[in-house]
Amino acid sequence: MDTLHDRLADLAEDAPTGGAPASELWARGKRAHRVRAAGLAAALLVVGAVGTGIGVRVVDGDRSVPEPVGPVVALPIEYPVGKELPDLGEAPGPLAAIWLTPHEGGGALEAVGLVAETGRFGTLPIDVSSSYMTPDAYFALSPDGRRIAYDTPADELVVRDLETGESSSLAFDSFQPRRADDGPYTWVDATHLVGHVAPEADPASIHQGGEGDGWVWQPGTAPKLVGLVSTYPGSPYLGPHAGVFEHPWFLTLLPKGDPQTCLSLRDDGMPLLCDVVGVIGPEIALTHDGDGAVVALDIKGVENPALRDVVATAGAPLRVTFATDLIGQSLDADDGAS
Amino acid sequence: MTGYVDFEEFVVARRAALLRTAYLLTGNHHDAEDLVQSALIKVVPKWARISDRPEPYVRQVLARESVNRWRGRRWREVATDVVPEAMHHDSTDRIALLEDLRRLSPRQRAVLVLRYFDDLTEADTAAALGISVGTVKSYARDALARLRKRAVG
Repeated sequence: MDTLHDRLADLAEDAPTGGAPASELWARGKRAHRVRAAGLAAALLVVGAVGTGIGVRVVDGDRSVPEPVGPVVALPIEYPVGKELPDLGEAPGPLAAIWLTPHEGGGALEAVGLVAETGRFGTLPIDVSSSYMTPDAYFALSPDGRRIAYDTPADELVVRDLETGESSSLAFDSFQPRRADDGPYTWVDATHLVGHVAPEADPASIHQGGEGDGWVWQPGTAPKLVGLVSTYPGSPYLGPHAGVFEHPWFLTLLPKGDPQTCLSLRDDGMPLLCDVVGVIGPEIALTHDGDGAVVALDIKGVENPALRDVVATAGAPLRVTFATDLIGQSLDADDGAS
Repeated sequence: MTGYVDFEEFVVARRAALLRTAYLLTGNHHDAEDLVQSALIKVVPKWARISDRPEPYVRQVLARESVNRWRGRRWREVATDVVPEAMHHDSTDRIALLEDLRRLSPRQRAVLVLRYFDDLTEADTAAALGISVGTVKSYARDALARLRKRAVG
């Protein structure tokens, strides 16, 4: 115990060893930053700031400006293949992405989520239908990442609020005409889930935009009959890759699970983008890079719409779906900060 | 999506070391934990820019926060829950050193800890605290003199 360093080191042995979890510190750091950023935005009408985030509104007199706040969503997203993942619990908060993957050792499918706030991957206690093993099953994450809609093994359509942990079973018992069995559904915005009615109700309306061709559900309500095309004109919705197959630029479709055909055609000189797993607005496609990570691809530079043909093929884990608004706004924020 | 993952790895790997420094800066378990926690929260918004080499920046925040917090305020009394559980053969020396440290000003203490515990150079200590190298020398000289005086006395 000769030197001052030694004495200090000896004293430091009495130091505490505890502290709040890293996830809590991270969340508190983000929240504190948001508060500071909001104050700055209100004072200077600054739009965009360091970091990423989902846009909400703060009022400054008569004007409102986007507050650069919210969950951290950064690309690329690297799927945690083969890693042991923690249980995220009933209410992990908004997710940036969710997908289904075969459980280790076979058996039921496992829902894996990416928590937007922390960037943590984990499993979700969601009992999904075995029909998800087939190509035509659907589930959907709302654009803000807060709600997930999925089919249970009892063929109930359930919406889970990921902030509160509450689940709502959509009451189709008294709904007329009947909801399409195993029909596609998707979120047209953060709170409106839409899907088709059964084709036999009015076969012509399904493709012609009849007044009663679909249903819409909002939290706290029962599903209501709606004319999908007339109510949501131009919205790319409904499909196994909602927002992909129906996207106006995505003109050339190949059968799912056929990426090789796509790649082959592209090699032959066709202007195709293979393995699209999501779209964000008219200019950004989510796809995979060579290492299997999800990346955003800027396709706005393709001036000729005829050359924007994109082929959506199966890729990555089963049934991946993204909080596209959340990711898109993060990309905007990154642009603003750079 | 590596920001949080990197942060978590850093916290897991380096929290204990940060707590040791913080304990010397504060002399108190609760304050040390609070200081480290506060520093880690403060660096989160900067993480994307510092993630390649976060420790120097984290320690800079830690040191400056300690000075700002305790400036103009006496170092807290050494909490009674700290020393007894650490009692062993040289506990007397620890208690004496704690008492010596608490008689220093926050900046003197910070300079002493950074220079003689974290082994920073005078230039790095100056950068961490946002003061000049000359001031670091002055604080270190005065702090050491006070410690020697106490030892002799």
